[in-house]
Amino acid sequence: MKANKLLVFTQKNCPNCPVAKKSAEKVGEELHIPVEVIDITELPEELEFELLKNQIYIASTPAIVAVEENNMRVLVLGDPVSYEELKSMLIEG
Amino acid sequence: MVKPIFNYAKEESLREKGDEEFWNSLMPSVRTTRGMIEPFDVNKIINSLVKEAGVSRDVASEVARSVVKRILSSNIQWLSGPMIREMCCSVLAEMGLVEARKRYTRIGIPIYDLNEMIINPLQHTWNANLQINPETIAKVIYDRVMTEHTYLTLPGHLEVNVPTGKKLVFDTNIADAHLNGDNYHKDREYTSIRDYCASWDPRLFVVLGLEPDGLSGMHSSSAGPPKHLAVFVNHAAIWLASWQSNMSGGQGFHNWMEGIAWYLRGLKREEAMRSAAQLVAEMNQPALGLTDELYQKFNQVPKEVIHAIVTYVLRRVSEREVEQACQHTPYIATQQYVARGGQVPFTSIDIGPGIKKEFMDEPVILPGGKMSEKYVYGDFVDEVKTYFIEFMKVMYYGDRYGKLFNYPKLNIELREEWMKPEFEEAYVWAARLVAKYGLPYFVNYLNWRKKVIGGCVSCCSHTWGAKTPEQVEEYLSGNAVYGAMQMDTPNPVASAARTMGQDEEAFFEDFGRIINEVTVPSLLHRYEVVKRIKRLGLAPLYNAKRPNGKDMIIPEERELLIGTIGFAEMVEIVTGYPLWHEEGLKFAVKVLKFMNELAREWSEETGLIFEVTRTPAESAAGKLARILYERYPDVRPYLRGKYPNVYLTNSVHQPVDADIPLSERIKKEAMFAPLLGGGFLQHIFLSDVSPDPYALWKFIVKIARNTLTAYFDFTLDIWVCPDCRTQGTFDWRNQHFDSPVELVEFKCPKCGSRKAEIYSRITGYLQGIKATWNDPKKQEFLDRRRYSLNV
Ligand SMILES: [Zn+2]
Repeated sequence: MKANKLLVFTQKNCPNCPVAKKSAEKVGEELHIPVEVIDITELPEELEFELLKNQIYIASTPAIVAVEENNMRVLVLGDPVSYEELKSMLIEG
Repeated sequence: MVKPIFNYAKEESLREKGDEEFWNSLMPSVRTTRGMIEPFDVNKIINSLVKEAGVSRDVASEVARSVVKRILSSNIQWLSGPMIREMCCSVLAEMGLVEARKRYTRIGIPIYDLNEMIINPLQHTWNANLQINPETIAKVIYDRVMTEHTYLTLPGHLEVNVPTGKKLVFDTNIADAHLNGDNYHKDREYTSIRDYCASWDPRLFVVLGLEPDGLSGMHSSSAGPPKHLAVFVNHAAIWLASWQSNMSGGQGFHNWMEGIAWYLRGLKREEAMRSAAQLVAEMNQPALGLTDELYQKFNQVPKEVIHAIVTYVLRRVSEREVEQACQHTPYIATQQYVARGGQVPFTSIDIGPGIKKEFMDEPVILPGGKMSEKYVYGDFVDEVKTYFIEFMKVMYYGDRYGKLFNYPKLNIELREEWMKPEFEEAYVWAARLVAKYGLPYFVNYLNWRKKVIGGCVSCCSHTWGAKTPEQVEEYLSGNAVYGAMQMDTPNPVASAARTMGQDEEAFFEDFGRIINEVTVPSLLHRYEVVKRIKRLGLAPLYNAKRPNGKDMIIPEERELLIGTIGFAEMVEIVTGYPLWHEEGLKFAVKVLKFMNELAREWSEETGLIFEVTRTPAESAAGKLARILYERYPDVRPYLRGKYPNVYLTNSVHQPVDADIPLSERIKKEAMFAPLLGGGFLQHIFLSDVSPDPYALWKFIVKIARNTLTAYFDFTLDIWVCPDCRTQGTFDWRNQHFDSPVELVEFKCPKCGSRKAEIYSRITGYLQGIKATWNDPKKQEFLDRRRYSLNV
């Protein structure tokens, strides 16, 4: 499923967040997918609800969610992720 | 010198002491509560009013004067202490001294009610967990007296010293809020004398041994750490039973598999061989007559063959021991009527088919507390799996007649490290238990909860995880004690009713006021109670030490739970949409977040742990609905069931009769789980007679991976007949009941016996419907929409 957007969730003092963010931005640029970075402590209410409805809860960071046609899919939840790993997740679906 | 009465009533001629004696002499004698007949003495009334009602001597004199007048003018010939007290109370009430009356009143039971309780105790309780036996009568009477005591003594004015160093002061009315249905104060009969629920690590008794009195065994006896499997299992049962008599809620074990692992070492081939070698060596010793004889008898047989046979036999003996140990557990859980007035303890065990990943490299803690130099927990994965399967089999085949075991509650953990083919057989056995009885519960660590360390479930569904490094250390070293101290449930439907037609803000203001002014002080009251119990040594076990030197019960570590109920009804009243509608869901999330924010603020303010949780509500669902029905006629159309059997939907669940597909129901409940830090249990009501266990297992994993659920069960409805000793699953395609009354009249489909009972999940546990469910819950049972899995 083609991702329309990548949501990257970060917070302060999160050791693996900067790498995850960079990986997402690099993959986004390469695959032409817009990337939105969101501080988990300032999660908008609407988005939080959308996530819950899609059975997603950002319990730890970094987290990366792919927004697809009628769906949201968790790619990363609380684990470090490299550019290569993220890219293969997106390509292989 | 006692101040004489009536001294301020100058117009009276009774000023002189002589007069007082004269009037006393006119009064009938009094039958006192000490069991004696004593002459009337008005000063006794005055002194007791001053001491017990806390009024001034002048007021006490005025009350006593009125009472004496009444006795004289009514020509009463027979007086008792309780009668005089009643008269004093009515005078106090007439004088508007309501608080003084509360302090002075006598708690008791009308003789008519008491007679009823003696011959028909179950009609006098809403507690679905009670069954009939003579001890039950003691519990019913106790419950009535202590509940009344709670209503009369729950503080209106409360001062609490909290760990942040602050002294918090509340002026509230917890009792009235409960009776008005604004805040459900759970556990009323126990709030002034016990702590609530706990989950224990079996390694506590592996290290400490067993002293169930908490007094170094002076009153009971002191048992050492268990060295054999059978003793381990026995200690475990006594541990839970003795804690049950110190607490009001459920008692469970976490880390059960790690605790029992070392005791299963007899299943190890090398252990059997080692023992065999030892035995064979002993056989060669001519000093031992019997073995010598054996050796001579088989002297044609090569030594290696003897060795192999002995190894085999020893292994078989170990396997039998494990089977016996597995059987012992559910029997003792369902047969010891030792707790809380002749109930069985409310027990649960968290288990999985292997060793948890955090424990794999940890050295085994041996009996008495030494670390093993030979074994780490990871050495016992196979043995623990064998045990797990054996345990599932015991539960599957049921008791002597094949009847299900409803305790201990089995919480089957779903963890990533066990999602491998080698564990599938074990898990399918758990699925078989689901298919046959709807028995076990599944604790999910496969979704957003995968990083939870030290998770456990206790009591009715409260889920915990170790949050700090200290907690993780305690958890790994067998020192963790989890649990809650009190649960209070603010009623959002009452707030919705009061603010009907107004905007959301009005709802939040009303609901917030209930939480801040009633729920929170009520929870803090129990904190004060537990501190007092410890200080006065009223529950010696609380002050017993864990292996790490900490007290078993530390009030500051216990959770204070803010419960949830009736979200389905509340949401519909406030938004006009059902809970499964987008708008309904949004509002429910908003209310949960609001509750979480208050819990966070109070945690910060007090230094204690407040969490939002699911309320079991086996009684609250009906009681609160009944009050709402009477108090707010406008909400009647929103209540479930039919009057008088109206009820609220449990927690944040979708209504049981909601006409929505199963997958939608699961997801639209699971999405609330992350917002219920104190725990959330989801039920899946099945209509299938016997679902396929393999397909069921796949479905379980699918739910666990693809939804936010934390904890779930499948509920099947079973009938059991004691007369023809058969049982079966309800086939809802051919089964119909029109009313709770019809349900009570259910007869055995095979032999027609009226004694046949129906078992289903009332809330977080299975219980006989006919004998113990209250009427609103029976109505809910009839309304449940059941799903066929078609798997
Ligand atoms: Zn029968």
